Amino acid sequence: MTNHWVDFKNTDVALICGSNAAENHPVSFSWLQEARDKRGAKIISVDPRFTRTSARADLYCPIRSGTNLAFYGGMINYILANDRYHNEYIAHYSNAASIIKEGFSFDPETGLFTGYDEGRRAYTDRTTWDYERDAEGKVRKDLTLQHPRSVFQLMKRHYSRYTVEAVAQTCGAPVDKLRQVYELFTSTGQVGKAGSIMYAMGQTQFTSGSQNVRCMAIIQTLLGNMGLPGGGVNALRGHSNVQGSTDMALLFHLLPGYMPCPTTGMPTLEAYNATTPPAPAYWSNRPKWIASLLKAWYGEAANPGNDFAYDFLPKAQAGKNYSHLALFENLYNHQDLEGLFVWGQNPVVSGPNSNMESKAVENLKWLVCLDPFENETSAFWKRPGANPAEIDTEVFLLPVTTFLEKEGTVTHSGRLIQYRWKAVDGPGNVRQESFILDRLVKRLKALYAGSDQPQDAMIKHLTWNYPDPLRSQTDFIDAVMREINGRNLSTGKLVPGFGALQEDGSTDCGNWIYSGMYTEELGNRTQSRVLDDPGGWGAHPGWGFAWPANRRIIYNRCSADPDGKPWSEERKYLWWDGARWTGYDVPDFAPTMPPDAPLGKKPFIMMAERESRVFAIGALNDGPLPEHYEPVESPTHNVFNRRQNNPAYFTGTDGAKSLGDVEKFPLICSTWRVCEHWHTGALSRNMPWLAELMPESFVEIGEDLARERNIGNGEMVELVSARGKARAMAMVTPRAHMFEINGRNVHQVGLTWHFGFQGLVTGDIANNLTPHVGDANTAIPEFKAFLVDIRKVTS
Amino acid sequence: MSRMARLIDITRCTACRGCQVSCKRWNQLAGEIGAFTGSYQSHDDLSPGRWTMIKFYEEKKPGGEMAWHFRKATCMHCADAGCLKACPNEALVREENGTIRRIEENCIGCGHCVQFCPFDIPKVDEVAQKMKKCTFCYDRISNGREPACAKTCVPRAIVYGTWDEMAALADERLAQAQKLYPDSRIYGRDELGGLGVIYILPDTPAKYGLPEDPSLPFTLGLWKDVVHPFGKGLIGASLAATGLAFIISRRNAMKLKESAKLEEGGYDDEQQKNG
Ligand code: SF4
Ligand code: SF4
Ligand code: SF4
Repeated sequence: MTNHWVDFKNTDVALICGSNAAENHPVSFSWLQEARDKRGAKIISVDPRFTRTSARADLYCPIRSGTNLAFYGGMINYILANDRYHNEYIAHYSNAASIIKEGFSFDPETGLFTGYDEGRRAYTDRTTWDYERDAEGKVRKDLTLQHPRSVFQLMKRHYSRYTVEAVAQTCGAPVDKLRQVYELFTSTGQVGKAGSIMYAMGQTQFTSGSQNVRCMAIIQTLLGNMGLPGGGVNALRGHSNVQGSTDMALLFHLLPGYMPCPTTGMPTLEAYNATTPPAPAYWSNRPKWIASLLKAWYGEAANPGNDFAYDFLPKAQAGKNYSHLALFENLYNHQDLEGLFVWGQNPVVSGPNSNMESKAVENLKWLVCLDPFENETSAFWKRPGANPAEIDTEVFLLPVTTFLEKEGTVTHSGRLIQYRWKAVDGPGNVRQESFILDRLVKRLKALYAGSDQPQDAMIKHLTWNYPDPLRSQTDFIDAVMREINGRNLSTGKLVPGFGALQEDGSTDCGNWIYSGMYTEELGNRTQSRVLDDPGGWGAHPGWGFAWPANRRIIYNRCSADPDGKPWSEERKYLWWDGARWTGYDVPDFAPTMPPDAPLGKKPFIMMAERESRVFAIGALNDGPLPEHYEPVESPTHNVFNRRQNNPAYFTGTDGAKSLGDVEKFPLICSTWRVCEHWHTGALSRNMPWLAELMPESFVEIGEDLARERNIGNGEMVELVSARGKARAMAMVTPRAHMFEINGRNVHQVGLTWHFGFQGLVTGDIANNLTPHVGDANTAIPEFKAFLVDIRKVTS
Repeated sequence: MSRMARLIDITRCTACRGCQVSCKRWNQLAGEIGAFTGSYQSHDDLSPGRWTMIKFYEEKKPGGEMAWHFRKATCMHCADAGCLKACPNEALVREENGTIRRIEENCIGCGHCVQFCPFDIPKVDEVAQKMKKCTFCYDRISNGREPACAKTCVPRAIVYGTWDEMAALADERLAQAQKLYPDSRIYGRDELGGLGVIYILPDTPAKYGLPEDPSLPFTLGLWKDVVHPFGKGLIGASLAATGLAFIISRRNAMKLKESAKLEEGGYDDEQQKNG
């Protein structure tokens, strides 16, 4: 999130789209309720079905799964066509006034931007997706926003196709509702008002998921909603610590702190550093962060003379994809993988095309699962339909503690790092994961201690001198946290923050964005529990530590006008007091840079142009401006351009081979969660009090479809897609819809994906149905929109 | 101690069912895994081991707009409590803080209270021969803590305080609620001498399974005022003649009803009455 949970109380309008916040993030509703009580805030729910969130919303608008981008495109058009944008804000704080190179274009006939190579299914030439520069290399601008090649005018033309009527046709939304949503949300473009967008996997798990997220950033920039209380683009993350896991780079393409993963194209540290964004982007400090990271990992073995042991880092093959989709495809095709450690995951239930992925697991020689329960992944060899006699995988199940039985930090969606203490000991011999990791690393290091093979050096030299967690888990975690925070290696003292990190090897730091969480002066700030709230905005700076630098709202320089004065008294948050930036939060800006300095009016400090990129310069694989494409399995044609699907979506080797069409699979389907279960259900389906609340897997279907197919409420049905089948109980409800899409009626259904064959309550795995294709940029699977058929189970 | 109460504001409940779990956790009641009910609602009704639950009410309005509301069902701890009046064995008492408390030793599981509760709250555990219902977390509230269900409620749909405070808060909440649901109203403040649960309802009580105008039957008054005043020692003859006979026959009828239920698969499997 750019903002944080408590901040929802400051909003005037909350747009909940692609999230079922009331059910899946109940705490958000306590703050939304406060916004409603105290500010008269309005809540909008946009969702394919009427959910518990919709039930508590002021305005509900249904859209069919897979059409977020059309919905947002319509909103962008509405803003631009009706002058709902915040003119001064976008002229100064975004690249709307920048002029784009001649030659850049988008052709609705082909559905492509310039630079696409059909053979490689990729935009191989992105040179025109760039600014026009003057002789000194400065970006050419037109602050009046009138130049025909200004980003503003390009966007205006691009989105003019997204009329309310066209969007309604594609989304299957009632025109009047759509208009009401646009009108209400864009009212937050007025000075003194703020609107928040709340989203979750209902935005991201699509072949155009990244572009959906970009839409939200564009809208919030146009409305001037970034960087101020009650605004922002707010991802409600799906686990208590999934923010922490991405921060620490439990992802295939990153190192901790969102630094890129080295590839074979960057064989030396110099080559790696050459990819650093140029100054004045704050990212230009990256060489300091990578040097400090390498010092944290390799200690004495990392020094300026050997590139800080950069060689030890594994290099991804340039151009090769290592995502979940690719990994399981490789495994399925007997490539690359022999063994697998599964921590805090249950891919047999959570992965797409579960039939294929669980079959793939059979090709492993060994599998180590760490979980409090024997979940579907560790029990894959006895899943329905499998023959244990034919499966040679050796499976190790290491029982681990649950969240109440371990200690350490979790980082929630608001980037807030909070220490949690253990409530009770786990049963028997269970251990927390970090203990197991410690023992694993020590065992590996012992095995390689005598080796002088160069490829083993990365294990031999890995620093691992933490106190033994068997004696004290607390001391072990303390040492790890100090290393993550970073130290001055000559004094041995903790650094006060990432500003102190150096490129010369004199500091170490395990994750630059977490630097400052543990300081000499303030101790372990993640343990701090001070409730003070200066300004009353709910920032609570003394409660835990929010990265970066304890900022609660990022881009908060935007809460003041270009001259440093608050845009309005009502939303006074950060301002220039003549000598420094002051207010109720840590400035996301150089603290003493005056507004009249050359960069003093440029709040987006991570970017080279220090502006919000409503036009994404060269960055994304599927275009610099979001454009609607249909989900890979869709019941209709794309009306916005002549290309049906995202031109660069991730197909992998097998994904595209098992797709179905609307003739055979006429219903739109999506998967979703319920409040009562937790992810793959490994915990909640083993917990009687939760299991009783939702004892069976169910599919929500509309009354019309139920009538057509003669399905009664509470009867068992079977869903079938091109990948597989799943049975579930039918919940016939007027809350599920039939959509009129491009003149044709199409039913939408959807089911929970919390079920599997293990636990106190069991059910078919919903992901038997989902396709093995993913987003063009992240390869996140398209879990949320695909085609199925349904039949009543009579036998 | 003053009379205590819960305000249950349906217009804020998001049906997270934290209260349902929290009640079981505090009172250490076993999970009761039943079959799919055809709705989000977990079971058809309360049971001896389920003292509170969220009931789901789905409604398609004439204009096509949807409404979906969630009512936490629980003992109301009525000022004028039918259960207490009906109990022949002094197993129910009114505490100073308003709790209608059951005395374990005295309860014979006769189920007479079931008959006379206007809200269908008490449930008889046939094996233990005891009636069970929400205790108002008497153990917590008499030690200065709020009920477990109120504590867990994230959007503050359940609020706990003195009856007077809750009665006043109801006006404030009603004003808020009416902005979103114009037909909202207060329920329980005036009913039956003031209930220990004051609801903010988005619409008419009947839509959420509540009697519009709850009252106690005339016969209950008779039982209480005519039969009971003789006192326990003197009750013999007249009780044998009227009350006891009634209780026994009632109990036998109940037994039949309960065992029929068990044969069908028990409370948990009662299906689909809810929408
Ligand atoms: S805890 Fe509160 S919000 Fe959740 S179901 Fe109970 S009353 Fe409703
Ligand atoms: S709701 Fe029923 S059980 Fe509870 S006090 Fe009132 S009459 Fe008695
Ligand atoms: S007051 Fe206590 S016993 Fe009654 S419903 Fe709430 S948690 Fe359960």
